[in-house]
Amino acid sequence: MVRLDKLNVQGICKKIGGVDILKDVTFSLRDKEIKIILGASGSGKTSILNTIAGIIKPDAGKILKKGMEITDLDVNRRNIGFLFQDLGLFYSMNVAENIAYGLRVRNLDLKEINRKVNDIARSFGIAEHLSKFPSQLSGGEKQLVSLARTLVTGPDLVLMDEPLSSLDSFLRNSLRWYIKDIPRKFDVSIIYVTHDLADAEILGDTIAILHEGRIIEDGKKEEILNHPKNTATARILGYNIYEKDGKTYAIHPSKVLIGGPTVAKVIYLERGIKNNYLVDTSFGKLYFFSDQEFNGQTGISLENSIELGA
Amino acid sequence: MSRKISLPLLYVAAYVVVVVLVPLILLFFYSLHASLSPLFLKILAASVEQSFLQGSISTVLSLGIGLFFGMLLILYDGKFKSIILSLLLITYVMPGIIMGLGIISIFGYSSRLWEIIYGNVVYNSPMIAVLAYSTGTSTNLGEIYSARVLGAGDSQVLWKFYFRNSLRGGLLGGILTFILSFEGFSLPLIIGGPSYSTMEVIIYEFKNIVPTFTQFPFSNASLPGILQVLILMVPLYIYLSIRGNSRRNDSGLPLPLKRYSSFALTGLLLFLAFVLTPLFAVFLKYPIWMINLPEIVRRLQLPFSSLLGNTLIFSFVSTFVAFMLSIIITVYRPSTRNQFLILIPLIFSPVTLALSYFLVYGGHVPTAILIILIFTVILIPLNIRMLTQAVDTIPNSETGSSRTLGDSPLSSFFRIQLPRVKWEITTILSLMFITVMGEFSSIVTVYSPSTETITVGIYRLLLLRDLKDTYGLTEIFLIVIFISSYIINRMGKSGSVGQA
Amino acid sequence: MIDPSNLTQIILAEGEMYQDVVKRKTSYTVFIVVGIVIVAAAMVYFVYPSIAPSQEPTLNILTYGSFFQYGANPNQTMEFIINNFEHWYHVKIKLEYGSGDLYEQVLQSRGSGYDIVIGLNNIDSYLAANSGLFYHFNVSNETHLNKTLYDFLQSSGTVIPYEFSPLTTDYNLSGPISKSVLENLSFADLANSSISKQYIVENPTSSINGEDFLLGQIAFYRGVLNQSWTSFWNDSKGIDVTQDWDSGFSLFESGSRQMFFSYATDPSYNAFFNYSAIGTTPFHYKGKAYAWLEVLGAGILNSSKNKDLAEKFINWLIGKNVQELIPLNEWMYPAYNGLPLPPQYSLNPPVSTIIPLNSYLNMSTAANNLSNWLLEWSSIES
Repeated sequence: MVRLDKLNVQGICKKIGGVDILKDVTFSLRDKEIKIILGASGSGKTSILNTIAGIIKPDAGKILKKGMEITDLDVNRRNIGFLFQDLGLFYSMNVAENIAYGLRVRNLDLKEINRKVNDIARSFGIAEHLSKFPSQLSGGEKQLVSLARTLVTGPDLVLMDEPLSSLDSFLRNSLRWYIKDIPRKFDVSIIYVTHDLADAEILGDTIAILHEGRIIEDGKKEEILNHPKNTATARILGYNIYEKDGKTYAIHPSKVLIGGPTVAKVIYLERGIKNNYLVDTSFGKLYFFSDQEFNGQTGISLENSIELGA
Repeated sequence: MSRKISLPLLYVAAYVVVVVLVPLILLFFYSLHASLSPLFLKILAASVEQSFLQGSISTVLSLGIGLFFGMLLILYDGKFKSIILSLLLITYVMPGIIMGLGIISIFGYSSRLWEIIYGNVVYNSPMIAVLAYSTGTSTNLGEIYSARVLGAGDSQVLWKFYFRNSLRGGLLGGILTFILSFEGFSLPLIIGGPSYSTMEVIIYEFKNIVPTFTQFPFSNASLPGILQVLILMVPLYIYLSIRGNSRRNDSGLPLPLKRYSSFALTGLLLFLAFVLTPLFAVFLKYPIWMINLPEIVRRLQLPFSSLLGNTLIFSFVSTFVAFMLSIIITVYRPSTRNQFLILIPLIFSPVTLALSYFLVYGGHVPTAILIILIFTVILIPLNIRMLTQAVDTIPNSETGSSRTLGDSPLSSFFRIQLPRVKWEITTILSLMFITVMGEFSSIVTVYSPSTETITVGIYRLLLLRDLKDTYGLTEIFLIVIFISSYIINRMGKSGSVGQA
Repeated sequence: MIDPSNLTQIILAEGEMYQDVVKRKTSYTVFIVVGIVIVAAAMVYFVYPSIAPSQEPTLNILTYGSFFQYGANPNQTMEFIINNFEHWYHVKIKLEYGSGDLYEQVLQSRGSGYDIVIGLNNIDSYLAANSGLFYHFNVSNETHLNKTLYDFLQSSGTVIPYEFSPLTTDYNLSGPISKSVLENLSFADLANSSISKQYIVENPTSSINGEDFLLGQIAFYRGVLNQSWTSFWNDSKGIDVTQDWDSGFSLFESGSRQMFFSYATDPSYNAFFNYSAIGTTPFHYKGKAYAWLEVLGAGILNSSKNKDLAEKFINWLIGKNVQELIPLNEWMYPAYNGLPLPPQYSLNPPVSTIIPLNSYLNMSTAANNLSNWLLEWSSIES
């Protein structure tokens, strides 16, 4: 029996206001997978999510969910959850009503609705907030409400648009692990769009790199993060890029070793949690950080560089 | 892959065909049969000239006055602001016939053209002031303080920032003023007399007073109707092109020019006095205790209950139907390009609208239904505009969430959007109700004795030269309107006052 | 720190109840339904009269407000005319009173909503007959009707004349103008400003009397004088133009002006009710007396669903019983030949001595030119 992908996106193109926002976007998603779509601001990340959700219709291409084409299906019939960047909580309703919204729309019995709302509120630890209104909640609590609301209707796919971007780093750390557990506990796949590398490192099973409307790389997380294949990917991942002998190389700031053949002059040294160095070499300026001290005398080693394609 | 024709497009198409295309085509067809005697052409030419004349002069004067007082509105920063704004808008919803009577009670019939212009200015300069104020205050306060920090003085802030931004609102108001004064009806009809008739007045007269007695009796009325539609398409198109969405500015920064606030207040009070004088003049000249209702009823040969009942029923039904239709159109709204189509009924002036609907539906539906239909169509474009504006203040993510959670667009509107803009909706509904209560030009074109409303009654009393009773009925009506306006002021707490 | 291990299924303890956090909601459906019900009720209220199948058929009659109202006992008169008919034919009669020009009112609703129109003046009768909106039928009492009236209407078989009156200038003797001038009044006299300042006439665009004045004046100038008719209005700017007969008559009665264009029967009216005596005079020219005869007609609309009953009503209207009531209630002359007139009518100028101006202007000419004439009049009189 052929195991169908949870989601197949094939050749999606979209022009908005005469500008090509998405160009031939293709990728797929399996059961219980978290796929990170990584890209700079304006690269079209939100548009991909909007297309999959059905909020905008693509000019060309197909979207298939479990083998069924949903490209022309209405937004409210796709059973795809969406966590907006500003959460989209209903400010005129309290927490319980927010969570219950999707269940009411599905015309469930009131008793059943109450049961499900209570259950998910308890499992998210927000049961004591059920009668409060969104304006009375903290940032983290709002996130949990939003997650609860999305998951209570049992979607098979959840789209998340940089949901943690407005939170402080403590909350972000906590909630990342929370989200990590969701595919297993709720049997959903997640497409998570972000420009934050920490999200990619912790959350993702696979990563797709979006650059100027195109998916330029798509693959397993470790492979993408440690072995970028082209300049654009490397830039997005924060690598230093330099040319040597007519070839292009990339090296991650954490992989520059102190002590080596490459001559480097220290321009800036900033001490923080680690030592941050901006050095000048014959190939241009490089940034790296290290626990060790470097004063420009011993040179650096760029042996961990990766050769890039175009 | 095939795409089915989207349902919203079908709704819009049906709406445009029924509401706009069919009446327009019939109007055009009738106009082809106009009997073009030299006298008719002479009268037509004179009316076109008057329309342009009154339109242009009124616009220039209103712009000057409106922009100045719009700036004062920006400068004033006190607790009476919302009261002043709602008082200013009173003239906008005031029926034209009452404005005309107010002017006559002050000036008599001494200088007809300038009295008409005065009326137009009183009508439109508050609207321009409020529009200039609303685009002016969308100025980014961060920008202004940046300029201040760099050394900009008061006059520079005023001129380079506030005035420049208010200009857009003022310009929009100016175009609207031109359109409204061009198609002016009540003022030229009541004050002007035949020499100062605009095209709108001519259309009415050719339908009701001098129909040609041929196979197409209303063809001579249709010709100026079509002509006016064609002429007004130009300013309307310009208006729709430069109209955008002005955002409210809530950056939390304090207003920069507070020290001029009391000066601004003085100026605004003077402006209010100027604008509200015609209305007060009515009450001064014919005191309330002299109202003689039985006499009014006798002169009109109609029971007052019928007059009042018609007025209220027409207003309620048309407001309700227009609101429901506007919800459907707003919820299923098509792309911005197609929105222009929805607003096309604006090219019809009220009398032309009434005439064309009469031509299409006149013999087939009872007059009461015809009137309700006309009122509804008049209300819809404004309704859509205000509804869209109110709804757009809600973040997209809320609407998006409700849709992804499985709700249909219409249900999502009632569950999510409506509760969020309750105050705005109430304001819109009240405003619509009052506007249509005072509607005169369209109904006087098609009414029958059993469907007479208060405004028509006032006009008939005026024709019978019974001034005392004319003003008596006017005052009764004004009291009703003042009460409703006060209610709007109490209900309309949010900032949707004054957006074009 | 938010503990991910919280994300587990919660099993309720024995007997623990779920908190009722989500409650029934009143939706907006209630308000919308109420609104729709009110709208539907309003619609039915407006549409019902025209579509209601009633036990008794209803005859909707459009007529002027003063229909048989000027007699000594209007209620009694109306009872006789209306209630009797209702009783005999088991029909309900609904009178709708129009203002201004009845024909234009019919035109404005394309003839729908009425069965009968009573009170169309000369030109309106002609226009109505040729508009296609009225029903052609055979009148049973035709032989008794004054044939000349038919000729003046040019509407045989469609609009039936039921009464007429010459239109003359009423005057009262307590004013600056002398009796001799008044008794021999001519159109030319009104070029004299001291005379025209004492004259009241109705607006031809809003009153049928005014319209008839204009038609008579045009007939005279074209037919008798062979002159352009506009010169009259240019010369006589002092004339006061009122909206309708009612307001003109009030002005005349108040004494502010001495002359008022009205009906030749007004002297008999004043005498009957013991009001101050007035005289009335046709327009004189070279020893002859001219006046426009206002003829009023009644017709049945094609849209009527009760044509049979309507015919019967019109026959009733031109029958002897109702025609006898006309002189003392409508203060017009009946169309029925040979009926005796009340004694007060001797105060009016005898109809036989007046040359009808109608014979100088046929209706088709008038119809073709009327709108232009009204326009020209409006631009002169502004």
